[in-house]
Amino acid sequence: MTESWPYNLPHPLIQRIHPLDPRSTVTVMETGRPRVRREFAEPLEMCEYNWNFTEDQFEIFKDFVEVNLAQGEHYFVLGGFEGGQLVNRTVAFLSPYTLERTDNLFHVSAMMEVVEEES
Amino acid sequence: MNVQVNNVWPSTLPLPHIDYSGGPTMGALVSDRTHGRLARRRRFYPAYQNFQVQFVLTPFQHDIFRAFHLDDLGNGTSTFALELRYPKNSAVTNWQVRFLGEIRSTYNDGSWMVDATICLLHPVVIIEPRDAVPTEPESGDPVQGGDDQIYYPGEWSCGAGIPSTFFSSYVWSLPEDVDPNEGIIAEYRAHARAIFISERDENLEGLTIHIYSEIFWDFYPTPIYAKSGLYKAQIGNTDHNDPEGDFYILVSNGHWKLTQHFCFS
Repeated sequence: MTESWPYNLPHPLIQRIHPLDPRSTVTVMETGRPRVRREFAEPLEMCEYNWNFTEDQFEIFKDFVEVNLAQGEHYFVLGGFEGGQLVNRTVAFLSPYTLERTDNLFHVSAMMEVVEEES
Repeated sequence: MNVQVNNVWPSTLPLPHIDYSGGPTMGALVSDRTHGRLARRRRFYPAYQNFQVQFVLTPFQHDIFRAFHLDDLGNGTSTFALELRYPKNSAVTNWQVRFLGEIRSTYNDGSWMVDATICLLHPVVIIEPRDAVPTEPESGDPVQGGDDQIYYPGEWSCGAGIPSTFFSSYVWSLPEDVDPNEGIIAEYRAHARAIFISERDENLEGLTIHIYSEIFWDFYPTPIYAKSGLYKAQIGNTDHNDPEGDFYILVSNGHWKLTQHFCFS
């Protein structure tokens, strides 16, 4: 079940981290030479998104995560601007989002698993 | 769901900094990333939040905080009600919270900076208890009078157990089997060394309470009927010549709080 990002919430901030985890097994020999064994054909693609929400937007986001996403169980489509174009990704929470309330805004960060990408 | 919170953050202590950080606990279980494609399953419906908060306390307030944490919360294990600006910045919400883990206090420039992690369990609504129904002393019938006419028991007294030479922000809580909607029936749960003798205030502007410095070592829970409000109390003495001045008792939400502090010599 794939949900859509609420239309009344802003896009994530431009700056983001996009890690790739090949999930390979790395064995370091005594000489220091590493050996790498592939376990999966595709890496685990992740993306860390950040938002600055007002209090009303944070309330919508909180309800969206708890109700629509069943506390992070479901995937959803999230768009973000990269290089001047909108990139839609189907993502899901990899861990709970973190919240920092400062300057009268709710700064939310979340690491997502990316399962599909379309631009 | 009805949640009864017996402890309330002392009114003499400041609320935490308005800025905080943290996040929710995740109700969905995510499989390990080394086990192929990730799978998710929700296990819990409640969404709790853990936040790191900070308090700035004077040394005196820090003593009160330590006493509250140790005595009222049972070394920090019990829940209590705390006002927070969450989830709205523009509104204060009462939350049932609980301390998690270590509390780190740093003394600097004459103040204590207290860092703590709290878990937000449920928002709670503080119910204003209904005014006590005045009754005739002998017959027990309701007193006939206007709505704003309130009578108090002519005399009540209570004493306490643990010897202490120091009064701090004690809270008298409602017994668990008392419905707060049945009027304020405060039980003297904290520790003090005094006798309270109330006097009826015909002007209805406040309940005058005289405190005498007699000492009771036993516990005498005595029902106290009173209306919500702020009452000025005076310290008198019969055995010692050590009056210490005035303090105030705030009657609210079924709890009695001392809002100023004094020492008994």
